[in-house]
Amino acid sequence: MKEFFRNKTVKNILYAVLAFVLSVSIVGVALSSLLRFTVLNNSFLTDALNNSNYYTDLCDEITDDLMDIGDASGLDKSFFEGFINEVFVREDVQDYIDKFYSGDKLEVDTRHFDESLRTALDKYISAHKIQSYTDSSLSYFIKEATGIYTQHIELKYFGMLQKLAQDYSSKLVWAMIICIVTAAAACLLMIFTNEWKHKGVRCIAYSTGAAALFTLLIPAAVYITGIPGKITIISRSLSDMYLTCLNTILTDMFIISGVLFVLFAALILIHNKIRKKAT
Amino acid sequence: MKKSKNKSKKNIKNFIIFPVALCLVMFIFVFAVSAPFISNIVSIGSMFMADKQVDYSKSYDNIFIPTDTNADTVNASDVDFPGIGKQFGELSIENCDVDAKLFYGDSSVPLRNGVGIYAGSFIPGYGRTILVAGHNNTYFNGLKNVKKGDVVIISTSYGNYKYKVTGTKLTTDKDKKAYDLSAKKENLVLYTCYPFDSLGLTNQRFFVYAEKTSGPVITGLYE
Repeated sequence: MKEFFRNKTVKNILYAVLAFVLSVSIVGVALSSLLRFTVLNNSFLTDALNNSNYYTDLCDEITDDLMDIGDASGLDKSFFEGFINEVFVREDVQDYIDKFYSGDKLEVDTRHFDESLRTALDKYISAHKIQSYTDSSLSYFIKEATGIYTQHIELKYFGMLQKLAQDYSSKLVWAMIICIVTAAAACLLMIFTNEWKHKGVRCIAYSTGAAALFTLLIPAAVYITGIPGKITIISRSLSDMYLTCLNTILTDMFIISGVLFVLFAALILIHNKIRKKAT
Repeated sequence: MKKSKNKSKKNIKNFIIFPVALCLVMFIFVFAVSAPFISNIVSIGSMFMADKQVDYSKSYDNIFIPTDTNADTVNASDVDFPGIGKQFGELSIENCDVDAKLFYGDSSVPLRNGVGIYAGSFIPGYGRTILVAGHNNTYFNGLKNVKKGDVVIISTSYGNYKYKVTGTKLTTDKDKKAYDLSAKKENLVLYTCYPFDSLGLTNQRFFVYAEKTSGPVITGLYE
């Protein structure tokens, strides 16, 4: 058995396998930590919303849609001008995001909107001395307007993603730990089972280089194929928000790749130093 | 000395070749592992992609050029068929104070700027049902004055059409029998919410029915 492991070809194959395992582990650590600190992180999304001009666009879109329904209901165009308050929209969206990450039922709290709309309608009716309406026609209008508000506050597809995010959030931590342990084990095996330490370092450098290339090629491929420019979601604000998220993730991948390339270069230097000492 | 230089060159080569090879193996590995789900992932991804950038603006295209032609037929190849959301004509009713831009499609932009043909129905000249929607407090407010025998005029770039009002009906938004989209005869159905001049939304609908009296038939449609 010992003779078998001393065979040069067997040794090379074993080190190649170890190098592959190490590369996969490094990529695993990089990607799982990327997910942990971006998609699965509440503040990442909050920042993305703030950086993408989301709230201003969203308020405009809500006002536009409410004006349409107001048009159909016999209200003046001016009724909804300045009706949507960005501060409350921010609060409602943030509340929705918090529910997403805490695993609570994804519901939009429309009490404030509802109350404001009823008050504004009462004022409008008395100011214009309107008599031609019924309680049911007004309730129908309020219900539809609230529905429009809810649709806009909800972040599309988050309902589908919530369970997935909850399930994978804890699993991801374990995946990260497993990848770190595997990577450490592979590094130790490469160094301590090798007579020549520089050969072990060389293998680690190969793996780091491969991981750096891998994390570079993914975002590069996404940009080359023009995927970010093709994102199409129901509204401008949502499209911009998803685009900002995607761009941030891809930029982070470029940064990770850069860090790995620096590490790769450092390992080459260490390798050369140890080899010189050994010879 | 030479041997050492060669070894150093070989080392540099190895630092390029091996990482690239490993990276390739990783891509193959990832592809092999994700192969069962890749078509699903691509399908889901394509739901959020479009070939060209979407236009989120609330403006609309106008392809309507008034014409005086009074021909009985018009060839399909001479008709500039409207895309969804485009203005392609005008609709008016004599003595009723209805005079609006006519759009293909009845989404928010058309109804904000005029009246719109439901995209599941037909445009004038097809010999089928034309279902037109408009708001009761804006462009179709004048329908409250409509009477049997009134003339509805639809002007398009490929011809001018006249329809004679045959009747009206008050029903609910769930009443699918209020119109027949499979009718083989050209008929115009205008509808709006009811009651007129009332605040709020309602599920009542006011229908106006009219039959074609003049206007070119589009020929060569199915050739």
